[in-house]
Amino acid sequence: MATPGPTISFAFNLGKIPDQGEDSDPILRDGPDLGLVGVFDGMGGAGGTVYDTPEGRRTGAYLASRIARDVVERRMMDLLEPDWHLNGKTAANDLQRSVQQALRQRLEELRATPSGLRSRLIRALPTTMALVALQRTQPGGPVWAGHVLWAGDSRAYVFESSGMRQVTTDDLRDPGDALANLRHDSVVSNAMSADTEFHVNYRRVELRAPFLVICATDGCFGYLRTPMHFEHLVLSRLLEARNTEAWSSSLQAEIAAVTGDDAAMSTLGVGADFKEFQKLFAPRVAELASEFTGPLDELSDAIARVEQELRALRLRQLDEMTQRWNRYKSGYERYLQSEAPVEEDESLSSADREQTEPIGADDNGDATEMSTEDTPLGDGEVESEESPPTEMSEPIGDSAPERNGEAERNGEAS
Amino acid sequence: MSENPNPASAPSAEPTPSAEPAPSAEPAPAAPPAGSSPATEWPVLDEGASSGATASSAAASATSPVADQSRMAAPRGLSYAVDIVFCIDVTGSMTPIIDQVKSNALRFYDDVQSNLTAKGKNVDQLRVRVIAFRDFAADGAAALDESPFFTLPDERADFSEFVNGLVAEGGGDAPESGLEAVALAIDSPWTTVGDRRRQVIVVWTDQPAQPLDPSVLPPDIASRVPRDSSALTDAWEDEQGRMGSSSKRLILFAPDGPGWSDISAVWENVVHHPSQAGGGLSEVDYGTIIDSIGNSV
Repeated sequence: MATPGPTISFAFNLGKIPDQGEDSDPILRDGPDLGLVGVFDGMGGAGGTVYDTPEGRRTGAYLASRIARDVVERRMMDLLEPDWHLNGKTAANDLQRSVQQALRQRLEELRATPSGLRSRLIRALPTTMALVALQRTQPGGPVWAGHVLWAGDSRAYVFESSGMRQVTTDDLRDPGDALANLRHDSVVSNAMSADTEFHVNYRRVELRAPFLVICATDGCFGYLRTPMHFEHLVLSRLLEARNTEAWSSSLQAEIAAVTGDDAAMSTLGVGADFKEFQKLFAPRVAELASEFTGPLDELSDAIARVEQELRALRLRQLDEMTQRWNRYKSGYERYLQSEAPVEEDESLSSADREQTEPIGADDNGDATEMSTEDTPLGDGEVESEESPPTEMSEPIGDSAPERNGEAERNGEAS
Repeated sequence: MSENPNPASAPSAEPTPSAEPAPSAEPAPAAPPAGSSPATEWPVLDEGASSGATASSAAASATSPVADQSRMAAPRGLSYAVDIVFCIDVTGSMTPIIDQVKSNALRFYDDVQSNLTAKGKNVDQLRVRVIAFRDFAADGAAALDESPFFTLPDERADFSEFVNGLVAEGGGDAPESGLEAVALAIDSPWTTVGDRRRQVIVVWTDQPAQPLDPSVLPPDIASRVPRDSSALTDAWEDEQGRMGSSSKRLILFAPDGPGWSDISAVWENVVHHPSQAGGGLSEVDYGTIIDSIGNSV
């Protein structure tokens, strides 16, 4: 009996700012023995330059992802056929040439004023790409060739019953593993653009149905705490959904809630229907929850609780300090109140009174009394006249600006 | 199945496909787009099998019950912290443009903040500090005026007061002590909070930079400044240094000439606008700079 081909699929493109999303709509194509999924992320950080176009003002990032998507889709439709093995390296070179040519041509058409900026961070019409072309290796068989083509830090994943596998390697200047890349936020070292050289990477993986292939821009996975959380998010939403559409909607809602970027995803399931995929991945979701994301989330929750308690305790400490100080202060400052009458102790003899007569008088003849119980100021402490005590509710620290070099400057102006 | 011996060649003179129309608020089919698919080779899945084959080309806020989901999803999101250090030339030659530079410094923070929040990045901490510099050879200790980090928006008034208090005077002959200011900026007490950080130094000057010379520096400053330009480059590029290897950015509004041109050519993560302290900067280039900071976090 023939193994089913592509069975379920969805794609979405979420723009953080309406009408200005810099990811293009994903590529999602399938046939009985073929599949094509891909995403393109216009790089806003490198391609923020704005151009005037017939559709209005658009960033280079916005334009680039759409141009690249159209070119790549058209080229792959020509290159990928059911009866011929795709030559992946040739395809990678073909895509590189085709996209570069299209981006350069578009840049010329835009007739942009040359930028006055110099930077290796800024590029003309930059975009990433992550693409997987699937070909069944034998008619009706369960084995598929996965041709992975990419440039930049968008990713392609394969989900097998035992877990999620990343099949692209991030093109980053400071490369690390997926968790390190999440934290380091490194600069992309290779991306499609009109004014810099780039290459299209290629990798071939052999896949046995059933499996899922997902291509995603970093807005989907880059704002979750770990890659484990991304896998758990995708699969747990699958298990909780009624159908593919509900799965897609749920994922969109979850990603939109945490992402700080546009997010595009293209998903294709091969070799099983929706219910069968739910059954296939149920043990993995349980394993992820118990062994990976669950313990990490518990720790995160515990830290959040402790931090909340610490904040509450600090507020309470400040409040109590202020209250208790206010109770204590009147006695403490008893002799600092200039208007406060000195209580006469009638039991004192005149001789005793003489001993408590002023022991220090200022030039005006005002007296400051010091009882025998008063403690003199220690070294380094400053005695201030009538200076009020520091308000304990005020922040402690040098919030006042430091100013060095206030000396008068008479140098000749340069 | 054999390898295709003669795949269609790449287009050489075809018109470039135009950009897609703007995404609409309504979910739109993504596969296949009309007019671009040979349907016989790429039969679309039948309705029953592809119940979810749709793409939503819409703003997240318009299509998703974000409010309902955020409570559940938010704890797994990332936190952001952004520090910006402004190095401002306050020598006498800056007199005609110092007010504009002050205005730019005060505006810069607002624009970075807007850029970040527009994409829904909730910045947990945003701080700025100022290093005003002149020429140590001519002005001695008066060549430097540093502020601490101000946490914004809470300490915005202090930040504005410090910036507005800067006076352009002194400096002797060109060049100025701009490299010392950059060195001190690199040595700033950068934030360590946040899952993702952006550490930005912005320099405004109308003059080339003096070569680093520890002998003219006051002792407390000399201990914080590298001995020469190679050591300064090492301090910037040091992956284990005070600034994160990926999170730092240096924005130069400075003329071509000694000091600045070398940095622009050699250092990573630099955006240089060759000018007299940013004079003639176009809005397009300014927007590009802001995007290079806020849109890459």
